[in-house]
Amino acid sequence: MSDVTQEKKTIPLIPGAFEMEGNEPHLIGTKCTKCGKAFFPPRYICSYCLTDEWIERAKLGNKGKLYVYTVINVASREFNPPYAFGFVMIEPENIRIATLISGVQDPNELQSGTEMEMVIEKLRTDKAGNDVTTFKFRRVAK
Amino acid sequence: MREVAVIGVGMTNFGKFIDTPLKELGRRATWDALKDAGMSPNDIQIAYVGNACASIITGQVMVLGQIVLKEVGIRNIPITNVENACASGSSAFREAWMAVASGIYDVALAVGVEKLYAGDTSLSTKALAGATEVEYEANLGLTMPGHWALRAKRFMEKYGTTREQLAKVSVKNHRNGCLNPRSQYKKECTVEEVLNSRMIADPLTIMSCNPLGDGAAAAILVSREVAARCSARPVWVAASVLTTGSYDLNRDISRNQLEGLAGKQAFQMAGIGPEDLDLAEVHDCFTIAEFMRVEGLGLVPEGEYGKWLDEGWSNIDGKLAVNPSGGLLAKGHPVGATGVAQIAEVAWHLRGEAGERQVPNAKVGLAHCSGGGVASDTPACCVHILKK
Repeated sequence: MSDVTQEKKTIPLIPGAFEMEGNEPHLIGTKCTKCGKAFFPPRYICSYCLTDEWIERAKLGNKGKLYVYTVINVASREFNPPYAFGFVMIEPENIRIATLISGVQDPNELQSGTEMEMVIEKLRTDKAGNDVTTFKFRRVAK
Repeated sequence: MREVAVIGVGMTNFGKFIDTPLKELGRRATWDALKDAGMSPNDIQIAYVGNACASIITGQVMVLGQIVLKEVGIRNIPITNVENACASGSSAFREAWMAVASGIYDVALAVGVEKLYAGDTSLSTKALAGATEVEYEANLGLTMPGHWALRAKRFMEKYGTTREQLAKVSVKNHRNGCLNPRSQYKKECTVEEVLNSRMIADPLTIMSCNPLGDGAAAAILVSREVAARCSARPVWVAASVLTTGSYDLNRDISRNQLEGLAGKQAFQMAGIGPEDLDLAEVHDCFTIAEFMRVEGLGLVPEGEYGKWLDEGWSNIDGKLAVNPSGGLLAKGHPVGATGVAQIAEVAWHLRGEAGERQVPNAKVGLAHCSGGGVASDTPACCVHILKK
């Protein structure tokens, strides 16, 4: 066994969920090139065409509109509640993404339809001392 | 397809029983159902045992049903464990119904059993979050109260439902729970108490959420021939439906389309309509869930349940008694036990044995259980209609 101290790593909470394009994060899902429907998390058989023939890995939109959100006060302790959680309809795919909402503590601060953008933030430090990161959505600054 | 009768039911009290093992809860409910049916463990030909959370709460995986039923002396028969979120118990009941309806077996047992509370709320919350997609929603921090809070906010936006109207579900069900000796809570509450209790996930306060608890229930299902020989008061299974969501990622989450589908199939199978029901045990895991599900099932017109509550139409003496048992909010919700406990409740009403909470002259009752939240849709929706 090596006794070299392991270097601290950055680990995404959901492996492969997003990719950086320069400074811009994008969700990674799939898209059916026949019917145009997109899926996140990725589905490898189109739920509408019921075939895997036209499905492709796809970089999805990183902006959208808030569908609804709340503040969760009670959760398993690793999540360190309270935190804001909601659904964002991403554009142009128009599919609902379950996501942590960054930058709000009040459950009634944002209205449905608010313009949102994706950010990558550190969620917690794991037992090995690595940074666990995830995508979140926040209100687009005016 | 053969006619199937329920001729025996049993149920433990629901509550927090830290010192009682799972197998003991299951044994008591099963033994009571056997006594109720006037049967011996040797009469049972096949059994299905529903449970949802033991793998996380106690670590018991794979063989829970066999462990419970060995305590009853049930041996050398097929036993299958059924896990289907909050619909685990009702799915076990449906499997037992299929076994008899198909003509393969004449006597089947359905059990639901759960210990949801081990002294650590964080652990229970984690187990329940397993009813979402763990590698996605649960991993990100979406809890079941969170899922329903989000649906509640969309529902309230769309229909103008108030927080006070949501709270009235809890007030009604707590009032009914006071009349049920097996209920976890036997204490009335006011709208103000519900609204001022601790916030879990806005708009749902702790008194808008079902409590954590333990319990078990059991039912014995038989063919017409066996019922004629063994029972003076059979209750008939008029419909049994189990279905799953569409998982469309742009579906309107303020509606329960899945309940619409399941309700339609169940009423068609029973050859009756919602107006023929005398009572409905509906899966009120949260106040908003009773709203969305009675409307989704077609028991109440879309957007009108707030008015029903204001007018008392879903009280025990109203147009349609909804959750006369106290529902999940007051009676409690040991997840895997709930579906079978609902069957027991409906059977007691149809037999005229529901005591102080008896729905007068009840002839037809519905039991509805839905479980989980995946892609903001429902993974398991189970509806049974029982008649005298």
